[in-house]
Amino acid sequence: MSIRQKRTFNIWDIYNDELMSMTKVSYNQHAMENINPQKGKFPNCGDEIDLYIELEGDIIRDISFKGNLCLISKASSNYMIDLLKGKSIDYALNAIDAFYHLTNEEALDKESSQVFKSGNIFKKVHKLHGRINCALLPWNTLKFALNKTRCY
Amino acid sequence: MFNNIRKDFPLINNHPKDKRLVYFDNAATTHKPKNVIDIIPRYYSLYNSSHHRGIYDLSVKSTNIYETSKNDIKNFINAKSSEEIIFTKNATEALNLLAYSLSKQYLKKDDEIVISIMEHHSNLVPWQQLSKKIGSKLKFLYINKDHMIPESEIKRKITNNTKVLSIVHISNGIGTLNPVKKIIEYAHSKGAIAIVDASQSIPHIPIDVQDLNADFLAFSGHKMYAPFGIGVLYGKKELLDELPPFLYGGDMIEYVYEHDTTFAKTPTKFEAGTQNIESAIGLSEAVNYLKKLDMNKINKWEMELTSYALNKLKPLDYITIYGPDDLKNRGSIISFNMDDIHPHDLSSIFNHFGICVRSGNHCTQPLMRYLKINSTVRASFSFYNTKNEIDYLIDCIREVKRRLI
Repeated sequence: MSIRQKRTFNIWDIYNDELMSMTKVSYNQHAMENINPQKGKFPNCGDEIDLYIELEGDIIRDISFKGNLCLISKASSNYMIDLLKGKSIDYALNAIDAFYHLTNEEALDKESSQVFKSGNIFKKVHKLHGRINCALLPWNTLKFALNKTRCY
Repeated sequence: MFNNIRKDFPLINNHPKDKRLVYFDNAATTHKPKNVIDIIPRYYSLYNSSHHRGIYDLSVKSTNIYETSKNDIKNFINAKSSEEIIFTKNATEALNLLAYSLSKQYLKKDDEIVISIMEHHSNLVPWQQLSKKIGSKLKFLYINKDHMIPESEIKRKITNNTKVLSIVHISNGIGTLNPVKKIIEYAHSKGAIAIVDASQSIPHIPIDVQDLNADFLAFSGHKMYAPFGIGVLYGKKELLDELPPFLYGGDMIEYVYEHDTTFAKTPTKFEAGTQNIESAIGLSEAVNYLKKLDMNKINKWEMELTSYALNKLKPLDYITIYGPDDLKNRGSIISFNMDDIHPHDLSSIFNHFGICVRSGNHCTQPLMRYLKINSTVRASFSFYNTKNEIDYLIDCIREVKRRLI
């Protein structure tokens, strides 16, 4: 029996080698000593992320994560960390907003397009019901943590 | 065995032939047969009126229809009388009703309530919150490595201080079929009231409340081919008579004075306000449909499907199956996980191929935590499923393995 695709897009364009290799990046997946992780939760599915963020002044020196995550969340976490490690808080907050636009199929400005040129896979996640939240989990968690460091 | 049965279900029958629909989420809700769907517009077109109130013909007809539906449910579960059938919105409301009413009349501080670790949140949170409020002690029956409750655990946890035992018949999370008759017998020997959550068993196995000797039994209509918004609390008449009402208002009263009220008799005492008559008739249509198919035949075919699926899944060494190994200790629910592929990814991929399964914690978070997992994929079968559909599921699993692992 052959299995038939019922959608107009190809599921294997999302679940492909690119996504799988993003999930397998191991150097970001660990706890950091002496740092209280920022917890991010998605109670609907039970997924939780612990995001360890080391700041030095206004710079994100290091980020790592641990958690029981789906492939999309895991890939998104690794992608986010590789993109934002060593960058300033302002840069990260702008990038997080741009990532929201990207996942919602909205056009990015020239600068953000450049930043996310390797993030094509996350443009397609909205095609899977309810799964944008999986891609956004690490980004939402980081945004929450970074906003706490700001005094308004 | 049920070759032409899919024709009875418009949603399945009308699905475009070039797109597959493999519905394996029957533990969440089942599809509805045509006779159930058709009765709803028929009721509104021919009989619509408020029951139990008027003395005009329409209202009397509506009352008769409602009471006849109740009688059909009584027959379906072999209750002694239709006074033992209380219509609720669903099993959740039935269990909340019990927790509330028992806490007013019967349960006191330090009394023990025993439930199992595999309870659905609806048979856990009401008892937990009640215990916090009145100071009763909530105890859990834990499962062994075969995902069953050992007899020793039952004997250790149910004591002379146990006032309530409330247990799920078939676990919606992992498919375990609990020996409720035996557990009820033991609970009774310790003087406890025994409650069964039959939500996952009543659509699949014949239920005889007198044979089980359950004091109370709760289930939802929508999981047994009936419309949403109707559920049942069965209770022994003498116990229901003792319990105070849950909701107050119209119909459930006898005389209302400015500062006092006397209440109607069982079961009206527990049915405040105008009831969901359309769904009550829908439920009676559903049980009559099931009766016609024969619950024993339904059970036989569904367990054959379950056995077929388990035999196909077991050889796949990257699949972990939850629940008892022995088919006789299972319902037609298979919860499983795939190495390295999260349940949500798997169910997104399945959806792409037209397979509907549930992924997540299945409203059983304490069970998932006890098993040290945070979610599973769950395929749950109905008599309208086929072996061909199971083959298709296995093909999809193999394809995921081939591409991603």
